[in-house]
Amino acid sequence: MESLGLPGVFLIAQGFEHDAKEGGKDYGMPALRTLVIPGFVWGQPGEEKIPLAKASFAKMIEALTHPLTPEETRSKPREKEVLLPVEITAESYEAALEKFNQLFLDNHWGDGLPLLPPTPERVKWMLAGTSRSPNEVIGKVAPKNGIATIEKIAINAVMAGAKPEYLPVIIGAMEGLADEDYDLLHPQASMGSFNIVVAVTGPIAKELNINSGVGYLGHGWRSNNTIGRAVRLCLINLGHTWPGINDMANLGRQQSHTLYTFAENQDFSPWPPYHVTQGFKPGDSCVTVSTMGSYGGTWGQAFSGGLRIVAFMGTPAEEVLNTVIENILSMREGVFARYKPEVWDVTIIPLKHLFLVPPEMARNFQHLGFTSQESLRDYIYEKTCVPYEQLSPEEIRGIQGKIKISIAGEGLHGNRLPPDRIPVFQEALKPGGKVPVLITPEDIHFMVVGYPVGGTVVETTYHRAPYKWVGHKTKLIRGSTLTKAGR
Amino acid sequence: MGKRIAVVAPPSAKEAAANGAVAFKVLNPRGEIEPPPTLIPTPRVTELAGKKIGLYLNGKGGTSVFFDTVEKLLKEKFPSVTVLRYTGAFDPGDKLAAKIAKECDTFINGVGD
Repeated sequence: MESLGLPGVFLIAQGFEHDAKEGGKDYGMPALRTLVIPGFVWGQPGEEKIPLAKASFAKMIEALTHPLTPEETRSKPREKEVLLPVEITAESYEAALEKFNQLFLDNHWGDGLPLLPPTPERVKWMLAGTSRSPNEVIGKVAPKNGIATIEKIAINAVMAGAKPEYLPVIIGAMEGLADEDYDLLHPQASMGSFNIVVAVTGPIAKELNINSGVGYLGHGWRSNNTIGRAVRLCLINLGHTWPGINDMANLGRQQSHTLYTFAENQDFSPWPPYHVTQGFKPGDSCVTVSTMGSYGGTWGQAFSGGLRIVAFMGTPAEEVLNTVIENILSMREGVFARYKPEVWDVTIIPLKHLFLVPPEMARNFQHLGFTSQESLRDYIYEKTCVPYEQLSPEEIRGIQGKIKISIAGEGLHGNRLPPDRIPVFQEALKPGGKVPVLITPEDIHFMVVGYPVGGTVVETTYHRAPYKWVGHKTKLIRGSTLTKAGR
Repeated sequence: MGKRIAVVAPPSAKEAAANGAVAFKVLNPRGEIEPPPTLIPTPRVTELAGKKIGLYLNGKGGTSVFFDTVEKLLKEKFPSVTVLRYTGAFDPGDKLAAKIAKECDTFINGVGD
């Protein structure tokens, strides 16, 4: 609005001064006029907000009317950051390694754990894992839109301790996160402590020895641990994020260093590989990235971005299915009735669900007649549609409002229906119709992973993404030179 | 962001190596950023009396009470002002930003996520 010639002031909550400053620079206005409110404006509406507003009112008036200072009108053009190689010298190998690590951490180029030096030789070694050009640009990484090239990804992969044969998977994951449709800003910068799933499917998983069995989210597998760590380092270094500066995750990003990285257990799955549900061929190798927030209904919330238990081992498949359906239906009131164009409330954005199902439970679902993931997700979608006659007037108003802003293309992406779903909701909102709580069956995902017998069904949920269309993307792994798959 | 580091010239590495010390070069892991054109803030209005003041928020909990108070205080202090309330995304986008710029003389922004 300032750039359109409208003068104003941006109110900043206490503790967000760095974030605001970085935001001003990102948008090209380092002298953006801001005012720090000495307290927190968020939280439930309450009387304590009134004195907060009163205490800041005079300063708001001043910010709006006090003429710009000479400093404010002499903003220097921002210089491009020079990204030269760095020479490390020390009296011994140990001292050089320590110096390198301290230097990178001081510059916010690391993740707090020891890094391996990305020497030109080691980066060349890493690049041997792909046939793609080091200069190829795969996209920009939020929040600062750093350019992701194959070489930059390789540099971060070296630092993470990855092997060259992992590089195509890491590139694929970054292609998903840097995709123009993927809402990466929210999980990179929000106070919500979201995190990322990195799931590998297809034959490359076995070639790379990516764990899909006991301890699939744990330590001890170089592939799982360093692929995830390389993606984390890419998010830090290509997106230029740092905790408390512009990554405001309240609790931090749990499982932060390795992300939630695993492979589908295809050997024991009764279903086709997951990526087939996303339009890829069975023999392809793919990587799926998915933002995890773990909002939910009856199971409560895991705002830290962790996983939630849906069912312990031994639970009958019918019971698991009913629990899933009940949980999604429990979100109905929020999704339908509480929708208001002027309210930004996470609970009114419909969710996507990613279920991690142990092989035995998948086979139990198969015995119930669900011969593919699609048949199961379609069933859940149908069972969570609400007959028009059962909707309250408030719910009908909420759905009408959602259709209206979707047609107008206004408001948050997360509150809008994708264009191809608008007719579905228009048709459903009539006598005899059934309105879905989920926007589309494709918002339900099943991956088979874990020990072949027993195990726990876990789930992570996230919005359909607030600022862009998706928070879930599957990419083909390609360009591999050191594996038979993913070439 | 981060401290600026001193880049040691390559000859020193050779010298260091010649003295029996360890030297190696590491590549920079950061993604290049194309700096946006630098903009300066818009000149302020000289007074608020008679002006149209936009309040922009993204509806996060608690903000309504805060901005209700701001609106009340504005109207008490400047009875001739018109307060216009807008709600939208964290980033209002081109369409809504243009509408606010057209309808208002100045604005107060209070978004968060």
